[in-house]
Amino acid sequence: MKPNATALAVSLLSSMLLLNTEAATAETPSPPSTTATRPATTPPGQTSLPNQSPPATTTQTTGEASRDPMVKKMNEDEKQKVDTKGK
Amino acid sequence: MNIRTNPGKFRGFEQYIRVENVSRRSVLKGLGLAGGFVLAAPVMSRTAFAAYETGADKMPHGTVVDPRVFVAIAPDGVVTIVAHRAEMGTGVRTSLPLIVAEEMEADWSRVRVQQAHGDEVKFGNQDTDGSRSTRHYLMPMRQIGASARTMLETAAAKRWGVPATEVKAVNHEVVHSASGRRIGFGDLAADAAKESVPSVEGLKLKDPKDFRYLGKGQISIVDLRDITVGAARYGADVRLPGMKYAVIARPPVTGGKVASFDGAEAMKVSGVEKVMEVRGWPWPSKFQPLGGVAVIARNTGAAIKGRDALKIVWDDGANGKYDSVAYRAELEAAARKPGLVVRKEGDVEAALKGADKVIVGEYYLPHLAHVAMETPVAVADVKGDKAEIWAPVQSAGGTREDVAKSLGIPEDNVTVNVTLLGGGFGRKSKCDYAIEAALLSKELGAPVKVQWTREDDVRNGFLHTVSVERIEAGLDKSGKVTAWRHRSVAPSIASTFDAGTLHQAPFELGMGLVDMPFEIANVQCENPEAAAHARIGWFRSVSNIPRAFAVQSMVGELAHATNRDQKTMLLELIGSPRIVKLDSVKDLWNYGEPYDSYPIDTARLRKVVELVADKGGWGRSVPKGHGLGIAAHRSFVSYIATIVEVAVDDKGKLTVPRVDTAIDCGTYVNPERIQSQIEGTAIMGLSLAKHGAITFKDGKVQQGNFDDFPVIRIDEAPAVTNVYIVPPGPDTPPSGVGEPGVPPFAPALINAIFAATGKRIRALPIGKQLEA
Repeated sequence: MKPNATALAVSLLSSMLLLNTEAATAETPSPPSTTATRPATTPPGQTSLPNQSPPATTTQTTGEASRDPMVKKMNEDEKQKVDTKGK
Repeated sequence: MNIRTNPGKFRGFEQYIRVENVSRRSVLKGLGLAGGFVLAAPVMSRTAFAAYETGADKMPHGTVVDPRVFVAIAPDGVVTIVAHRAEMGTGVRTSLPLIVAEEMEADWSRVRVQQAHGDEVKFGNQDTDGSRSTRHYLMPMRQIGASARTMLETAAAKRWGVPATEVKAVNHEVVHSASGRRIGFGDLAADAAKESVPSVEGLKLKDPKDFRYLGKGQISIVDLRDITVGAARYGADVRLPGMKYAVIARPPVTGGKVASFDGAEAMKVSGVEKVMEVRGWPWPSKFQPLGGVAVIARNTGAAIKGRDALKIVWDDGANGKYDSVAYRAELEAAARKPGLVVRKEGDVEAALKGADKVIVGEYYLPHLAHVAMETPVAVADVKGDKAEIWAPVQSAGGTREDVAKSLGIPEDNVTVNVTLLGGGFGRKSKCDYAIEAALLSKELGAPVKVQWTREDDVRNGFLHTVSVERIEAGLDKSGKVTAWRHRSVAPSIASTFDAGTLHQAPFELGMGLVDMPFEIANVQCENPEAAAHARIGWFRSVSNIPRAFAVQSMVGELAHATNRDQKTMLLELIGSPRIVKLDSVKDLWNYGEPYDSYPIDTARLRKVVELVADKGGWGRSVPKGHGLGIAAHRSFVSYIATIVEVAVDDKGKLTVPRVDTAIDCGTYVNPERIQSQIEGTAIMGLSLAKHGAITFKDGKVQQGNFDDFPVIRIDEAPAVTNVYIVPPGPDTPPSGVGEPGVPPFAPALINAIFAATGKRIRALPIGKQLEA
């Protein structure tokens, strides 16, 4: 088979122009305030419930074995993978 | 083998020119549209045959050696080669195609590189981590190139009616010397496509003396121009029509969740369209999202403003009291008591008791954050049971698999387009951000971009572990080290997917602990328990960072204690040239490589020490306030030694006038990239050693951005970094380059500071310790 290079080029060009036009309208043109990218260290509206957990130690694990079958399988597969392959 | 792009299927990548993204759909579509490319054939995979054994075939989906998957030749002669690994600054998407071009005798100026999408069945393993790409793919890529060359030569011989032995591919042509005939690759492409792929076992590879590209360092990376002029397209540059922009407020404590939230004020922010709780999974859940509250907007800035206006009450859960100061004390206490024995030779207890002198060093390294210049970001477009992702991911195949599982759709229905990565360092091996985008797109019925801010990156990532390394070294009267006990205490990466993890995994123990190469009669390595209270993940060089810091700092301490030169002490400890036997280590992890191909060879370790000492002027006179430090380490099956010169003024200000590093990474492809990687590790190593610390209080990360987790700026950078590459032997397999430069940097720096000031730093970062 021999390609029609001209037709292909025209197709590519028109696709690119179309996509560029669409992309240009995808985001509002005015940039956000520069301060918006620098949130406060602790967002003022966020708080935590009183926490009764014990201090973190080296000997007591705090994770929870997943009951979600999908995640359980993901965890098992990843553990097996790193045990045998390292990553 | 047409795999040129049909741009209509590459939304978001319309500005890519030289490096394009390949999806399977576009490949098939492209074949139908253009049809004239050759070697096009149904996808077939074959296990690579290698002249030396590597761990490549044991990786998920192994290797694929098939020119029809990786190479396309257009009628105009343009050769397209697929890069199936991710580009994050190592130059890998140039290096691997360059190997193919070399073997097939392609003219690099007529080669185009295409980025593969995530498909490990088709391309083989795509995990771009572990400093594995070149060492696993040098030979397979050579074989792919040689196969393509053989098919072209066979096609030419048939056309001319001459034996195939009389023709030869030379610089994008096949030549018949006897008749003087020659024909270009483009003209041969259609015929070559009809040839069967030759068996790997029968391939004739080029003689390395005939290499035009490999080992020369004269080819720029294909992304160089775009990166330099700001035209490179990263994940954040992807834009789709109708796309929504999202940021997420995630639980500030690992294992936490939303107790309640109020999005009313957020909805008042101009541009905000929706506020919604997003699903998280109880920790640990591999790379699944943390969940939280998402703000959807018309642009990212509005989404961030909206998030700032959220009112959220968190339930911090079981890690709400995680405190770095208290936990460090716990780690130190654990390191002072016996732990799980993971290596034992001789009788270390008796040897320590009988020693003339015992030197003890306890070394602390805090959590670290990757802070790649590009924060995590992903775009997803989920329609029905199909999903398309655009993201800077190190593991395209893994991302595809995890997104499919999270959406409950077949893997074949997920396309993962890999963008250029603005740094990775292991963070982007975890695809939680791509899953977040996919789940939101499914929920909203529109394409969604999830953008992480720097604060998100620092506070909600997968951190490098925190560790205490305690070494006790016993010396006899002559100053010879007769006993070595090393206890390593650190939460394991395995805690990210195994709730009960208390000990480090074999792959972590194998990074500088049980593989310690010193020639000492009595050695014991122990691994006391350490439960994790934050998400721990792979970080460039992983456990080698704390281990090299401890072991090589101890070398400096022993040199001082015995009044010997650091280099002399180091070589004495390394001992005689030999292959280290580690029979007492159960499940020895050798970076996934067979020990026969990649043993611990102390001759090679000695050689890099000698080389850097020679080239780096070890022992030279330095001005007052300056000092030299040396360190050597084997990691990712490469050998590396570094000398750092420091200057410390009377106020404790630290500068680094010069760094010298020698590396033996076996056979290599592009020495220019090795140099750039080592220069990069000097920058990263110095950043981490001077400033790197992620700390927790009340379960929350206390840092958020470069103001409190700084990376060094140009005025702090080493003024000179010299790199010396050991020429490979004829049969030396390739080994890692991307990571090995980091581990020896900190101990060389610390040893240099001691030489300059007499102050021994055992806890990183250096911070203000020199100002005291």
